[in-house]
Amino acid sequence: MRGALVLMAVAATALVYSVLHYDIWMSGMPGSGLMPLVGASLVIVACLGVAIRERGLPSGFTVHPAPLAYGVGFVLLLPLTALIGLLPALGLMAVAILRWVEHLSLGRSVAVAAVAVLGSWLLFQRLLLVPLPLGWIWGF
Amino acid sequence: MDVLSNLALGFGQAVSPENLLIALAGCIVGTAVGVLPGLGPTATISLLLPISVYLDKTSAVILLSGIYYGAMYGGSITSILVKIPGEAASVITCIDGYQMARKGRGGAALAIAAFGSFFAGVVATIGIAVVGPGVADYALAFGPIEKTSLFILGFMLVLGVGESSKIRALAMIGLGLLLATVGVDLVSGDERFVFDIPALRDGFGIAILAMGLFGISEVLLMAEGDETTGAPIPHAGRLRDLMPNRREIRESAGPVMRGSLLGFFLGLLPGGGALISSFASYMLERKLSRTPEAFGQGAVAGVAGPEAANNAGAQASFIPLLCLGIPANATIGVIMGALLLAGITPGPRLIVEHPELFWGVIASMFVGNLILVVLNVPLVGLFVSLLRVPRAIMAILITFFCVIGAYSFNNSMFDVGTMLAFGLVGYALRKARFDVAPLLLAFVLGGLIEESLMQALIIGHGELSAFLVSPLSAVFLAAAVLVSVMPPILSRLLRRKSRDALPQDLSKDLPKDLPQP
Repeated sequence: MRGALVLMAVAATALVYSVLHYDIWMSGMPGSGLMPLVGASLVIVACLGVAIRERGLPSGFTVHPAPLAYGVGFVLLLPLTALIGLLPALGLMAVAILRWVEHLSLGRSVAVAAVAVLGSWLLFQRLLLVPLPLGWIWGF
Repeated sequence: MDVLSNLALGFGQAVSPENLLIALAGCIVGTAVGVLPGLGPTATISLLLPISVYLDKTSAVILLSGIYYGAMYGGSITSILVKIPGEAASVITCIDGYQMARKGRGGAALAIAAFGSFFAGVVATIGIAVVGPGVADYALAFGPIEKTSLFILGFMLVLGVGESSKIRALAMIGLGLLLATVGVDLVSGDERFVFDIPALRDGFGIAILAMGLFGISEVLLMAEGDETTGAPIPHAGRLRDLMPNRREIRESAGPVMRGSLLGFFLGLLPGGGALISSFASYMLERKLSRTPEAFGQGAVAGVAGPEAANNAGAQASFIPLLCLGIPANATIGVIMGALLLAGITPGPRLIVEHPELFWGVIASMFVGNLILVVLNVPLVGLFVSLLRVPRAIMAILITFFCVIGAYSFNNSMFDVGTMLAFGLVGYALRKARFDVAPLLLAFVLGGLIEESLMQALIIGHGELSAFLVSPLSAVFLAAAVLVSVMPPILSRLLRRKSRDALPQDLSKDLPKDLPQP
C-alpha cells in the first residue's frame, strides 16, 4: 500500500505541474496538457483504489542490502565513466560487486570482469563500431 | 490461378542462390540483433541502408525484411531466457516464457516460439498472397479516426495483461501514459516535463525504458539472492529433452493457429496493428483457457499465441507498406526508406509496376521463416545453456549488455543514466507488487494514440461523434466496450451460478471476490 501512496503523490505532483503549465483544451482541440492529465488522473484513481482495497494489510517491503549495493554501483558508474571510460568503469563495478556483494574470490571476480570487458569491447567497439566513451584520463 | 503464377514468379526471385544467401545473412544478423539488447532492428536496418543501395532492389528488401523478422525471433530468446524484451511486441512473451524457463522448460518455450513463428509466418505469407492485391481499396479507408479507436481497444486489452490485479494494471497504464508525454508535443510544440534538459526533448526511448524496467530490475531481484528468481538449469542436456513434450505441443496447437489468424488480420491494420496483435492474442488465450490462473505462471498458450501473432502481424504489416505506402512501425518505415532510395515509391501501383519485387518479397518471407526455424531450433540447446551461468555472473553480464546497449542508441551517457534510473524504479514497482508490462505497453500506445487523436479531431472538426460515424471505428469502440464490460459481467454470472449450484450452508463460505474468467 505504501508503494501505491508514493505513486499517487508523484502523479499528483505531475498533475498539478501539467495543469499549471500546459493547456488542456484550446480552440476546440485537445491541448498538450490533456494526455498528462489523463495519465496522472488514472494513476491517482487506481492507487486510491489500491490503498482502499488494501487498507489494514501489512504495508511496505524490505529492501535487501545486495540490491542496494548494486544501486550504489549503478550511481557511481556515471561519474566513474566520465573519469576512466565506460568499459574500465564497468569492469571496476563488476569486480567490486562480485567480490564484496556476491562473495566470489578476487581472482574469479577479476577473471569474470576481464572476460565481460573484453567481450563487450570486441562486440560493440570492434564489430559494431560503437564509439564507447574513453573518459577524461584516456581522452587526452 | 493468378496468385499461383504470381507466387511462382516470386519464388523464382527468392530462391536464386544470391537471394537465398542474402536471406540467410539477414536472418542471422536479425537474430543476433534481437538477442543483443540495445542495437534493435530499426537501428541495424538504418546502419545497413547504405549497403542495400549496392544490391538489387528485391535483394535489398529481402535482406532488410530478413533482419526484421529475424530480430522478432531473437527478441523472443532474451524475453524467455533473461526477461529482457528485444522488441515491444516481445514484452508479452516475458510473462509466461520466463516463467517456463524458471521451471526448466526454457528449451520448450524457445522451440514453441520458433515453430509457432514459422507456422504463423507461413499462414501470413499465404494470407498476404491471397489478400494483398485486394487490400489496397479497403485499407485506404483506415485513417486517424479508425487508428484512435483501434488504440482505445488496445488500451482495454492492456488492462488484462500481466500478473497483477486490474486496478494495479490501471495505475501502470496511467504511469505509462504520463511517461509517454515527456518531450516536445508534436502538435502544439510545447515542451512537456523537459525541465530545460535537451536530452529529454525527444522523450524516453522505448528500448531504454524496456531495458531498465525489465533487465536492470531483474538484475536487482537476482541480487536478492533468491535462487528461485533466476531460471534453473534443465536437468537434461540432449536436444530431444529440450523440445516440447506431447502435452506442450497439444496445448500450443490451438493458440498458434488462433494467434496466426489474429496477428495476420491485426497486422493488416496500418499504425500499430502488429504490436497490438501479441497482447490481443494473450488476452484471447487467457479468456479461452480453462485455467486462466495458469497465465503468468508459465502457461504454454501464453507463449505460443503471442509469438505466432507477433510474427504473423510483423509479416502482415508489409501489406500497408507495399500496397499503400504506409509504414506500420519505425522498422517498416526504414525499409520504406530503402525502397525510396532504390527509386521505388510504395503504394497501390507497386504490385502492377514492380510485380517481381512484391511477389519476390512475399516468397522470401516463406524462405526466411524456413531458414529461421532450421537455424534456430538446433541452437535451442546453446541458448538454454545460457541458463547454466551462475546467478551472480549472469546479473553482471545483463548489466554490461544493458549499459552498453543503452549507450549505443544515441552514444549518450544520459540514456545510460535514464535506463539505470528506470531499473531502480522498476525494481521498486515490482517489490510493491505492480507489474511493469502494462506500463511499457501503455507507453508505446500513449505516443501513438495522442498523435492520431489530434489528427482525428482535426478531421472531425473537434466533434467526438466522428468516432461513431466511421463504421470501422464504431466496430473497434464496440469491441473495446465489450472487452472492458464482459469480464466483470461474466464473473458475476459465474459467481451467481456457482452459488446457486451449491447447498445454502456452503455458499455462504464462498469468497466474495472470485477470480475473473
